[in-house]
Amino acid sequence: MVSLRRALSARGRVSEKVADDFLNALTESIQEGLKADGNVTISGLGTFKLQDMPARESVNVTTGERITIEGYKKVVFTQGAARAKAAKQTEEPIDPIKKLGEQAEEIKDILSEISAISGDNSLAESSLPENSLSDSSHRTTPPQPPINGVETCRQAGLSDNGEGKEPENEPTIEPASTEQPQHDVKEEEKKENGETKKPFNPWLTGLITIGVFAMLLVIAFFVLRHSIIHWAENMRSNLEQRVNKPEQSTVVPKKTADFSAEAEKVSSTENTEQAETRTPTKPNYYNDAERKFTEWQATEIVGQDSRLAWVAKKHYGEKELWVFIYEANRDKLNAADYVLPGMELRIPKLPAELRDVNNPQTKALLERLSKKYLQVNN
Amino acid sequence: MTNKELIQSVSQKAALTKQATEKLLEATAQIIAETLNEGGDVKIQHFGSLEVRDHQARTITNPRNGKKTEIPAKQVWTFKANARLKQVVNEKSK
Repeated sequence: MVSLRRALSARGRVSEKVADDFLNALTESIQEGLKADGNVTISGLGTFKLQDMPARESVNVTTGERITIEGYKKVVFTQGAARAKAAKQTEEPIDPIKKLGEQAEEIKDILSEISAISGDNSLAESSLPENSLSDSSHRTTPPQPPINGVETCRQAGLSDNGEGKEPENEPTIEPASTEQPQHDVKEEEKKENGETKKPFNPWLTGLITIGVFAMLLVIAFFVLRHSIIHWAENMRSNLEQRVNKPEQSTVVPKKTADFSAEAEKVSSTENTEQAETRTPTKPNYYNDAERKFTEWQATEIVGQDSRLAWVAKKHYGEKELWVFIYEANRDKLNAADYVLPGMELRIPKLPAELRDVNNPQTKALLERLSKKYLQVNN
Repeated sequence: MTNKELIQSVSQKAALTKQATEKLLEATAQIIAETLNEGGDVKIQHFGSLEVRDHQARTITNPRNGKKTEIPAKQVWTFKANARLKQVVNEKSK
């Protein structure tokens, strides 16, 4: 228990108290789980189960008396499939190579230490990998340069100080000296792979992140451009409306909307000139921006269960024209499909072009507007 | 009780977040598994001990067709409930 707690606090990077609390809670929870449904699974480890042991008869060996052993529940453990595999793999003799790799790293460390002590730091650092390799191959062959003896001594001392695994590894690897050259080749391969792989990964991730950032920037640029263009168009149309209105009021004081003047098709030269100036203002009616109506043909008090489309049908004869009623009554209507009975709606006078549902321009506008308003409300 | 439910229950009891509990549970399982793989046994207070048992290789005969199959030797983890756990499991559920 004590060692498990200590190992857990080291592995999970928590204080021993937390680890202890956790273990107590864990055992308690497992007990409760067993009592509740007799089955507790811990992923990565296995399953605890309760097994019913029925009552059975037995004989007391000393007296020969017949006794019954009462039934009880037994806690059984089955190891998880993943762990079973892992256990099998560790049994196979792949270990020595891996441990050799670890040792090679240790030797590297020791070498660097030695070189630090002897004083030629620069030399040691530059020729470190070669040294470590050659030394690991030399280590098993008896005739050696004098440094090697020091190394092995130091290594032995270090392994005693270090993890408890080390002394077990020593003897297992030393006898396998006949296979040593092969292992060394593998070691070299391993090291090369490790060296080539390590710088490769950050590069790849860096490239990917840069690519993603570039994509985001491009997308943001397009979105911004689109919105700015849209905004500018709206502003321009608004400005044009404002500029046109006073002009009309002076020229044709009775008729406020320019479409009426347009429909008259005045023959006088003055009027034709004015009409020419006005022609560009005509598409205002086909703009997506809201129209501002100034003349009204009627007011409608909404009845029970009424819809804007029905009102439009009643007054214009075409239910598609509801969008204009909606635009004219935006101050009262929050949503196109939310009309309360008793509401007083103003029905705007519509220009002839807008009333003509078969006009392709009008048709497109009506479709666009109805889509827009219904979308907003949804 | 699944792993999820276990984490939930433990996190409530030990006043830890679920993530922390999950990490600790994983670490515990790892430590136990490593210890067992190295051949040691794990004892848990108020609970029991986990040990490794060697199962020798054996040949079995299929009674239906008389074929003989070899089951290789393997190591199996076994659990032994201690007295406290046995008591807890048996007394209250009865």
